[in-house]
Amino acid sequence: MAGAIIENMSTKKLVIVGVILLLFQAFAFMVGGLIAPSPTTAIHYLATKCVDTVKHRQETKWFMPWGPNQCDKIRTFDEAMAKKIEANNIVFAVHIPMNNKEMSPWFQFMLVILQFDIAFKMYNQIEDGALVTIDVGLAYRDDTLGEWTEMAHSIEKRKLNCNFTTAKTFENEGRYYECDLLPFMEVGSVAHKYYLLNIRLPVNERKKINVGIGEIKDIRLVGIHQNGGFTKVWFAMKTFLTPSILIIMIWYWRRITLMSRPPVLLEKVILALGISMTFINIPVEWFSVGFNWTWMLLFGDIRQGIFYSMLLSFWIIFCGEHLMDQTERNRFSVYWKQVGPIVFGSFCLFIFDMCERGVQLTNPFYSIWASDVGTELAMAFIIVAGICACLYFLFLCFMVFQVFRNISGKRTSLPAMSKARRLHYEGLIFRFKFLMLVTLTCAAMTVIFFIISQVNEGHWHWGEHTVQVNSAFFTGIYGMWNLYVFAIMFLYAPSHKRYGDEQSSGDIGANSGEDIQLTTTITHVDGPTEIYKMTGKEAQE
Amino acid sequence: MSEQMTRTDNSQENTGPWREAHISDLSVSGGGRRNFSWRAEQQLVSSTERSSADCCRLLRRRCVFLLLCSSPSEALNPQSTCFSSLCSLCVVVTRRIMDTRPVRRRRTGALRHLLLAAAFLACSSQLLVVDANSWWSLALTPIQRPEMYIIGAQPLCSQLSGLSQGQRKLCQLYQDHMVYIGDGAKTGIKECQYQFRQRRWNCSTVDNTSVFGRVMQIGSRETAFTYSISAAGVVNAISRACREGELSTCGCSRAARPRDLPRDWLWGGCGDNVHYGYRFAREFVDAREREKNYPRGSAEHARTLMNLQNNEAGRQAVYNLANVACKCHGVSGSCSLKTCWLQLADFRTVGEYLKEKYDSAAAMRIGRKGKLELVDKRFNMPTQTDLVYIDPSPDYCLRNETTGSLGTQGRLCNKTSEGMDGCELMCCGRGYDQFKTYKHERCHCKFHWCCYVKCKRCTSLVDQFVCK
Repeated sequence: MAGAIIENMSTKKLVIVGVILLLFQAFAFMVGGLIAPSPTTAIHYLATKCVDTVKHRQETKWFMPWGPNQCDKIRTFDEAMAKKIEANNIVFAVHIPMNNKEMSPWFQFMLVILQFDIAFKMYNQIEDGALVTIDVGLAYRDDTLGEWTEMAHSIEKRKLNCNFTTAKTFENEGRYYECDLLPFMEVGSVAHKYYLLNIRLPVNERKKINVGIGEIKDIRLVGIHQNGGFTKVWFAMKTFLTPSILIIMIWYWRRITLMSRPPVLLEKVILALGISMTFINIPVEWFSVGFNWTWMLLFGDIRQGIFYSMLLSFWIIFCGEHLMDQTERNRFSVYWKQVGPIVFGSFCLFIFDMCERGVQLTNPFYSIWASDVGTELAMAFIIVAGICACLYFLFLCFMVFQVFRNISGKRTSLPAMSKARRLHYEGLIFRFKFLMLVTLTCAAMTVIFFIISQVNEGHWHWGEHTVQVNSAFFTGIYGMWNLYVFAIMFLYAPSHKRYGDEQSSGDIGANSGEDIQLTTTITHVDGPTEIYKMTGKEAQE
Repeated sequence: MSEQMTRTDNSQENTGPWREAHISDLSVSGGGRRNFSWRAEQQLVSSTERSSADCCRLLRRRCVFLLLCSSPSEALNPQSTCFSSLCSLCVVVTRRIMDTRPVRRRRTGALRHLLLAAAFLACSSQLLVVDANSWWSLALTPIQRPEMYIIGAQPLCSQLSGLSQGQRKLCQLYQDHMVYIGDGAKTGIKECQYQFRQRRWNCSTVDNTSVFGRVMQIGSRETAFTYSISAAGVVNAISRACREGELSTCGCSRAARPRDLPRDWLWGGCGDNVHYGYRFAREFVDAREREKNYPRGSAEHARTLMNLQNNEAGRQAVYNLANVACKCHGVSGSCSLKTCWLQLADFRTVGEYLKEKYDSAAAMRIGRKGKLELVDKRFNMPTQTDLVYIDPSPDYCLRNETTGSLGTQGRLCNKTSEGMDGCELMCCGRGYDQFKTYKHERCHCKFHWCCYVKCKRCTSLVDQFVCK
């Protein structure tokens, strides 16, 4: 007698709800495209070559590239050659950010990429598989004149992956190699105003350290950080979405508890989806503005991972519960075959993330891709996760196919069924098709926007306005999945309405054989809810 | 063969083993009346200082050029000894005198008189033709680091010769940029000389005010190339300085809103520095052309249009050749979050690209509407990235005072080559002299990263050919 809200809602109301959701969706896109700036900014730095005159220093000295107390600079290495400065005494200094600017906690994270400018020389070429050993220190301070405090210090190895595109002749000496970008540093919070990087490339001939790395002319760094404006818009969005999802979730669960029967599996899964959405929504990032929490980046990854695996599980279980074959499911253990790959795949990604971002909590210069073993391990994790994803999609496609086969089978026998039963199946089919449509639309939107953001240069000019496509992608897609979860919880909550007035208690008794079968889905016939009882009594009176 | 010869010649003078350095010395600081002075004797600069000062004193009554300063960084950078235009001419003269190399010596006496005469001539002509000097001279007159001019903003900009009215204003607003504009012009000239090293016109610098001499008054292909490469050099240098953090206004300079800058920076970061370099170069380099107001359709107007087009082509070359590099950094390193930035190409690539544009430059003339139009209508209209010229090139074979051509006399050539650098073409059929010289070369070198190189010295006897 009671179906989900979506079945019992009039078409007019459904359209209204749809339009409202679409408006919110458009709003989410617009917030990103028009208000927010681009999500991240990359800033190019060129390391200043400083000279460390003191041979054996006790405490670490920090070299500033410009401003007061700047170091002794050399412009080119020819100068160093003339002055007989050794490689170990050359310090590459980079101040983040540029002159007159300061970093802010709103930037959320800071990622630095390393690039070498290596000139080709006939007699000084890069050897195969050359490794660069970098002695790097990171320091911070919060006022322009204060002392630098060390944040991290490490000796890192990076593999040079360079190729020379033109012919290796004397004529082409002095041209630069084309080198791959090297991951250099990742900091999960930007709590300080000024950062200073001091990089050395020590040479030790006996240990073969930094030998055969070619003639390095310059060191370039690219600092990437999230834009403050984007962070603000993002936080605002999260802060707005959290209560909306939370309220609908509470409302949904209250509806379910009001029923006389215990909640079925699908209802529980929908609730879990809501919880994971709320978990991702809760704007704990606000704390990162006040506190120096470097683990925020990792935490964000974990939250996203939980949500995605929940979403994937939900799709599988939703399909399974709408299979309409005569098997009793309603248990999570039935789905282990399909949910297993999801859990395993996300676990692999979690391990990978822990290896990369987890270690970066202690050593921001660590990169799993820097070593051969690490690269293989990382690749292994990612490949396993990929295989799991493929497996999952095969299962999902097979299940969807089964559902559609059963639907067409049921269609033919629908007219012969009793009314309650017919309505029940019609409801099932409608619900399934509706979710199928919405899910496909959402997934397609996600894929399309992902492709656009990958191909596009990041912003479109539209008259005087600049549309930030990447920001629109983030806010739009984020808003979309929120609305998706919202809509599912609202529309698939149990309804109070009855199927029809003709339905009598005699029918229920007569079709008791069918009723048992119907309990496998959420719309199984249950006793009237408290509210319904009251309204029903009133109506009787 | 002859090409190799030049190299050996240089490596004797310089301590560094790197050849680019030699090219730079060769081209920029040398700059004699002759094409492409053989080398710049860096060590000689200080010893010639006094004689150049004497020389300047002589000249001071006619022109008001004086020895400006000797910057403290002189020890570091030999090129930063400050001389104003004429004085460095004097240096050139005295350098010739001090030149003790046996091969060159036989001509120095005559050369000295000739150069002195030329110096006086240039001096007096400069008073008449004010327009001859150009901002390119920033490449040759070293600029003091801006820190020294924090209080008095005027001296730096008024001392720099070759700036137009608008450029001087920009100089006062962005003093810290001037050093890099000089650097940019220098890189441009250097690259020009590299690209044209085997041609009859080899982009040689002549003096410190007009830099390339009277050749630039002709709107030829070569002029087009020079304008574009130097504009490209400025974009390159400003962007580079931006990345070094040397410029305070870099990146964030939107239309005069200095108060909002920190907010902009926090909100959306600052634009990339290649873009900044491009915009600044456009303001600065084009200022000179934009402030002139010639009647539409006149020859001067045509020239202005040509310069603007070529400047733009040069800047576009840097901007378009910059490639986009991207980094993925989403969840678990996925590409859901991707950040891209522009990465400048090697300036050699820019030079090669512009050289191609030079080869395919379009001949133009001023149309009735006051716009440039193609001489030969069958070709496609040049785009923003193409070079254009309005006059035919002068004869670069022979020395000609009116066109400013220096002639190819005394140039090295390659006997075996059949190309432009071959003796036949280079010497325009006048024949060549042959010399035998010892070539000292570094060989069996052992390198370390930075600053350490152990080499043996190999000597060989080579033939060298010089145009008559």
